Amino acid sequence: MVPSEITTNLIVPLLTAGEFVKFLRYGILIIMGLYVVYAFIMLRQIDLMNRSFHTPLAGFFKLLGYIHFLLALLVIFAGILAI
Amino acid sequence: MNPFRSFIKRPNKTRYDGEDDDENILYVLRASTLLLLPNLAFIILLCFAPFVAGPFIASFEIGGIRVLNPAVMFSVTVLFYLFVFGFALQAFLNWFFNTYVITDKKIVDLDFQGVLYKNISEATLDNIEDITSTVKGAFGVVFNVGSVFIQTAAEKNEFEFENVDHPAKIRDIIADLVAETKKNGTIRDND
Repeated sequence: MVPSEITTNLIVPLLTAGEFVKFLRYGILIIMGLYVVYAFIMLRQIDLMNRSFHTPLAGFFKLLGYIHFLLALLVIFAGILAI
Repeated sequence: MNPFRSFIKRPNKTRYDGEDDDENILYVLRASTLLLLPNLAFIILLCFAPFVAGPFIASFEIGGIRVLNPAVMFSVTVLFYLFVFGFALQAFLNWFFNTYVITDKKIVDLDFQGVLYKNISEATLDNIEDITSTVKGAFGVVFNVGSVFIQTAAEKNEFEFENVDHPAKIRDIIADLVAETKKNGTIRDND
Protein backbone atom coordinates (compact mmCIF):
# COMPACT_ATOMS: atom_id res chain seq x y z
CA MET A 1 0.00 0.00 0.00
CA VAL A 2 1.51 3.37 -1.03
CA PRO A 3 1.40 6.31 1.44
CA SER A 4 -1.46 8.10 -0.38
CA GLU A 5 -3.53 4.88 -0.20
CA ILE A 6 -2.81 4.60 3.54
CA THR A 7 -4.08 8.18 3.96
CA THR A 8 -7.19 7.58 1.84
CA ASN A 9 -8.10 4.04 2.93
CA LEU A 10 -7.05 3.87 6.59
CA ILE A 11 -6.78 7.32 8.17
CA VAL A 12 -9.35 9.42 6.32
CA PRO A 13 -12.28 7.05 7.10
CA LEU A 14 -11.49 7.43 10.84
CA LEU A 15 -11.41 11.24 10.62
CA THR A 16 -13.08 13.67 8.28
CA ALA A 17 -10.76 15.37 5.79
CA GLY A 18 -11.02 18.63 7.78
CA GLU A 19 -10.10 16.88 11.04
CA PHE A 20 -7.15 15.16 9.41
CA VAL A 21 -5.82 18.44 8.00
CA LYS A 22 -6.20 19.99 11.48
CA PHE A 23 -4.32 16.99 12.94
CA LEU A 24 -1.45 17.58 10.47
CA ARG A 25 -1.34 21.30 11.26
CA TYR A 26 -1.13 20.57 15.01
CA GLY A 27 1.76 18.25 14.14
CA ILE A 28 3.53 21.21 12.52
CA LEU A 29 2.88 23.24 15.66
CA ILE A 30 4.44 20.48 17.81
CA ILE A 31 7.54 20.54 15.56
CA MET A 32 7.74 24.32 16.07
CA GLY A 33 7.47 23.78 19.85
CA LEU A 34 10.27 21.19 19.77
CA TYR A 35 12.41 23.67 17.82
CA VAL A 36 11.92 26.27 20.57
CA VAL A 37 13.21 23.68 23.08
CA TYR A 38 16.21 22.98 20.82
CA ALA A 39 16.92 26.74 20.47
CA PHE A 40 16.82 27.07 24.27
CA ILE A 41 19.23 24.13 24.71
CA MET A 42 21.54 25.74 22.13
CA LEU A 43 21.46 28.95 24.18
CA ARG A 44 22.59 26.99 27.25
CA GLN A 45 25.22 25.20 25.12
CA ILE A 46 26.68 28.52 23.94
CA ASP A 47 26.87 29.65 27.57
CA LEU A 48 28.66 26.43 28.53
CA MET A 49 31.07 26.69 25.58
CA ASN A 50 31.85 30.33 26.40
CA ARG A 51 32.62 29.39 30.00
CA SER A 52 34.82 26.47 28.94
CA PHE A 53 36.70 28.50 26.35
CA HIS A 54 36.31 32.26 26.61
CA THR A 55 37.21 34.36 23.55
CA PRO A 56 36.53 38.00 22.55
CA LEU A 57 33.67 36.62 20.42
CA ALA A 58 31.77 35.25 23.44
CA GLY A 59 29.26 38.14 23.42
CA PHE A 60 28.65 37.79 19.69
CA PHE A 61 27.88 34.06 20.01
CA LYS A 62 25.53 34.78 22.90
CA LEU A 63 23.75 37.40 20.78
CA LEU A 64 23.36 34.91 17.89
CA GLY A 65 21.96 32.33 20.33
CA TYR A 66 19.39 34.83 21.68
CA ILE A 67 18.39 35.93 18.15
CA HIS A 68 17.92 32.25 17.21
CA PHE A 69 15.80 31.59 20.32
CA LEU A 70 13.67 34.73 19.84
CA LEU A 71 13.08 33.88 16.16
CA ALA A 72 11.99 30.35 17.21
CA LEU A 73 9.49 31.93 19.65
CA LEU A 74 8.23 34.30 16.93
CA VAL A 75 7.77 31.39 14.51
CA ILE A 76 5.69 29.41 17.00
CA PHE A 77 3.53 32.46 17.69
CA ALA A 78 3.08 32.99 13.95
CA GLY A 79 2.26 29.28 13.67
CA ILE A 80 -0.39 29.49 16.42
CA LEU A 81 -1.98 32.50 14.69
CA ALA A 82 -1.88 30.80 11.28
CA ILE A 83 -3.28 27.45 12.50
CA MET B 1 39.21 39.24 15.38
CA ASN B 2 38.69 36.92 12.43
CA PRO B 3 36.52 34.01 13.71
CA PHE B 4 37.60 31.73 10.84
CA ARG B 5 41.26 31.47 11.80
CA SER B 6 42.43 27.96 12.57
CA PHE B 7 45.94 28.87 13.81
CA ILE B 8 46.26 31.71 16.30
CA LYS B 9 49.49 32.69 18.01
CA ARG B 10 49.22 34.37 21.43
CA PRO B 11 45.47 35.10 21.26
CA ASN B 12 44.15 38.15 23.10
CA LYS B 13 41.56 37.97 25.89
CA THR B 14 41.28 34.20 25.57
CA ARG B 15 41.18 31.77 28.47
CA TYR B 16 40.01 28.24 29.07
CA ASP B 17 38.25 26.63 31.99
CA GLY B 18 40.94 25.54 34.46
CA GLU B 19 43.68 27.93 33.35
CA ASP B 20 46.19 28.82 36.09
CA ASP B 21 46.81 32.46 37.02
CA ASP B 22 50.44 32.26 35.90
CA GLU B 23 49.67 30.33 32.72
CA ASN B 24 49.80 31.92 29.25
CA ILE B 25 48.11 30.64 26.13
CA LEU B 26 50.70 30.43 23.35
CA TYR B 27 48.66 28.92 20.51
CA VAL B 28 45.03 28.15 19.76
CA LEU B 29 44.47 25.59 17.00
CA ARG B 30 41.37 24.29 15.28
CA ALA B 31 40.56 21.91 12.46
CA SER B 32 41.23 23.44 9.05
CA THR B 33 38.70 26.04 7.90
CA LEU B 34 38.41 24.01 4.67
CA LEU B 35 36.42 21.43 6.65
CA LEU B 36 33.60 23.95 6.92
CA LEU B 37 33.11 23.98 3.13
CA PRO B 38 30.94 20.80 2.86
CA ASN B 39 28.59 22.24 5.50
CA LEU B 40 28.55 25.57 3.64
CA ALA B 41 27.65 23.82 0.37
CA PHE B 42 24.87 21.89 2.13
CA ILE B 43 23.51 25.12 3.67
CA ILE B 44 23.46 26.87 0.27
CA LEU B 45 21.61 23.85 -1.16
CA LEU B 46 19.09 23.96 1.69
CA CYS B 47 18.45 27.68 1.04
CA PHE B 48 17.13 26.81 -2.43
CA ALA B 49 15.03 23.83 -1.26
CA PRO B 50 11.81 25.83 -0.56
CA PHE B 51 11.85 27.21 -4.12
CA VAL B 52 11.95 23.66 -5.49
CA ALA B 53 9.78 21.77 -2.99
CA GLY B 54 7.53 24.66 -1.90
CA PRO B 55 5.02 24.57 -4.80
CA PHE B 56 4.55 20.78 -4.44
CA ILE B 57 4.07 20.97 -0.66
CA ALA B 58 1.74 23.98 -0.96
CA SER B 59 -0.50 22.13 -3.42
CA PHE B 60 -0.89 19.03 -1.20
CA GLU B 61 -4.61 18.47 -0.57
CA ILE B 62 -6.65 15.97 1.43
CA GLY B 63 -10.34 15.67 0.58
CA GLY B 64 -10.17 18.91 -1.38
CA ILE B 65 -8.72 20.84 1.60
CA ARG B 66 -5.26 22.38 1.34
CA VAL B 67 -3.08 21.10 4.22
CA LEU B 68 -0.90 24.19 4.15
CA ASN B 69 -2.87 27.35 3.48
CA PRO B 70 -0.75 30.44 2.62
CA ALA B 71 -0.44 31.52 6.28
CA VAL B 72 0.67 28.04 7.46
CA MET B 73 2.95 27.73 4.43
CA PHE B 74 4.61 31.03 5.37
CA SER B 75 5.18 29.83 8.98
CA VAL B 76 6.60 26.51 7.76
CA THR B 77 8.95 28.31 5.32
CA VAL B 78 10.19 30.66 8.07
CA LEU B 79 10.68 27.63 10.38
CA PHE B 80 12.68 25.92 7.64
CA TYR B 81 15.00 28.92 7.19
CA LEU B 82 15.34 29.15 10.97
CA PHE B 83 16.32 25.48 10.98
CA VAL B 84 18.96 26.25 8.30
CA PHE B 85 20.26 29.13 10.44
CA GLY B 86 20.33 26.85 13.51
CA PHE B 87 22.18 24.15 11.56
CA ALA B 88 24.75 26.70 10.32
CA LEU B 89 25.22 28.12 13.82
CA GLN B 90 25.59 24.64 15.33
CA ALA B 91 28.12 23.59 12.67
CA PHE B 92 30.16 26.75 13.17
CA LEU B 93 30.09 26.51 16.99
CA ASN B 94 31.16 22.85 16.84
CA TRP B 95 34.11 23.84 14.66
CA PHE B 96 35.01 26.98 16.63
CA PHE B 97 34.94 25.39 20.09
CA ASN B 98 36.59 22.08 19.17
CA THR B 99 39.89 23.65 20.01
CA TYR B 100 43.43 22.60 20.84
CA VAL B 101 45.15 24.98 23.22
CA ILE B 102 48.90 25.05 23.77
CA THR B 103 49.98 26.99 26.84
CA ASP B 104 53.39 27.44 28.45
CA LYS B 105 52.48 24.58 30.81
CA LYS B 106 50.05 22.25 29.06
CA ILE B 107 48.28 21.12 25.95
CA VAL B 108 44.49 21.10 26.24
CA ASP B 109 42.00 19.39 23.95
CA LEU B 110 38.46 20.81 24.16
CA ASP B 111 35.81 18.63 22.52
CA PHE B 112 32.18 19.53 22.01
CA GLN B 113 29.83 17.42 19.91
CA GLY B 114 26.32 18.64 19.28
CA VAL B 115 24.39 19.98 22.21
CA LEU B 116 25.01 17.30 24.78
CA TYR B 117 28.68 16.28 24.76
CA LYS B 118 31.65 18.05 26.31
CA ASN B 119 35.09 16.58 26.95
CA ILE B 120 38.25 18.37 28.05
CA SER B 121 41.61 16.61 28.23
CA GLU B 122 44.94 18.10 29.20
CA ALA B 123 48.54 17.01 29.62
CA THR B 124 51.49 18.92 31.00
CA LEU B 125 54.32 19.61 28.55
CA ASP B 126 56.84 17.67 30.65
CA ASN B 127 54.60 14.59 30.37
CA ILE B 128 54.74 14.51 26.59
CA GLU B 129 56.92 11.70 25.28
CA ASP B 130 56.44 11.51 21.55
CA ILE B 131 54.87 13.65 18.84
CA THR B 132 53.95 12.48 15.37
CA SER B 133 52.39 14.37 12.47
CA THR B 134 50.55 12.68 9.63
CA VAL B 135 49.31 13.98 6.30
CA LYS B 136 47.36 11.52 4.21
CA GLY B 137 45.04 11.43 1.22
CA ALA B 138 44.84 13.76 -1.77
CA PHE B 139 42.99 16.44 0.23
CA GLY B 140 45.60 16.38 2.99
CA VAL B 141 48.56 16.51 0.63
CA VAL B 142 47.12 19.29 -1.57
CA PHE B 143 46.04 21.54 1.31
CA ASN B 144 48.65 20.46 3.89
CA VAL B 145 46.00 19.29 6.35
CA GLY B 146 46.65 16.40 8.70
CA SER B 147 46.75 15.18 12.27
CA VAL B 148 49.22 15.47 15.12
CA PHE B 149 49.42 12.57 17.59
CA ILE B 150 50.84 13.33 21.00
CA GLN B 151 51.90 10.43 23.21
CA THR B 152 52.05 11.16 26.93
CA ALA B 153 53.57 9.31 29.86
CA ALA B 154 50.28 9.48 31.74
CA GLU B 155 47.52 6.87 31.78
CA LYS B 156 45.63 8.66 28.98
CA ASN B 157 47.76 7.44 26.14
CA GLU B 158 47.32 9.81 23.24
CA PHE B 159 46.09 13.24 22.19
CA GLU B 160 45.06 13.76 18.61
CA PHE B 161 44.88 17.15 16.96
CA GLU B 162 42.69 16.18 14.01
CA ASN B 163 42.62 17.77 10.55
CA VAL B 164 44.78 20.76 11.48
CA ASP B 165 46.54 23.04 8.99
CA HIS B 166 50.35 22.66 8.82
CA PRO B 167 50.65 19.55 11.06
CA ALA B 168 54.45 19.39 10.68
CA LYS B 169 54.81 22.99 11.89
CA ILE B 170 52.58 22.23 14.90
CA ARG B 171 54.60 19.09 15.69
CA ASP B 172 57.78 21.18 15.58
CA ILE B 173 56.31 23.90 17.84
CA ILE B 174 55.17 21.37 20.45
CA ALA B 175 58.46 19.46 20.27
CA ASP B 176 60.42 22.69 20.89
CA LEU B 177 58.18 23.62 23.84
CA VAL B 178 58.52 20.15 25.34
CA ALA B 179 62.31 20.23 24.93
CA GLU B 180 62.51 23.67 26.55
CA THR B 181 60.28 22.61 29.45
CA LYS B 182 62.31 19.47 30.08
CA LYS B 183 65.56 21.46 29.91
CA ASN B 184 64.64 24.60 31.89
CA GLY B 185 61.55 23.47 33.77
CA THR B 186 59.58 26.33 32.22
CA ILE B 187 58.98 28.24 28.97
CA ARG B 188 60.80 31.56 28.68
CA ASP B 189 58.46 34.40 27.75
CA ASN B 190 59.64 35.17 24.24
CA ASP B 191 58.14 35.06 20.77
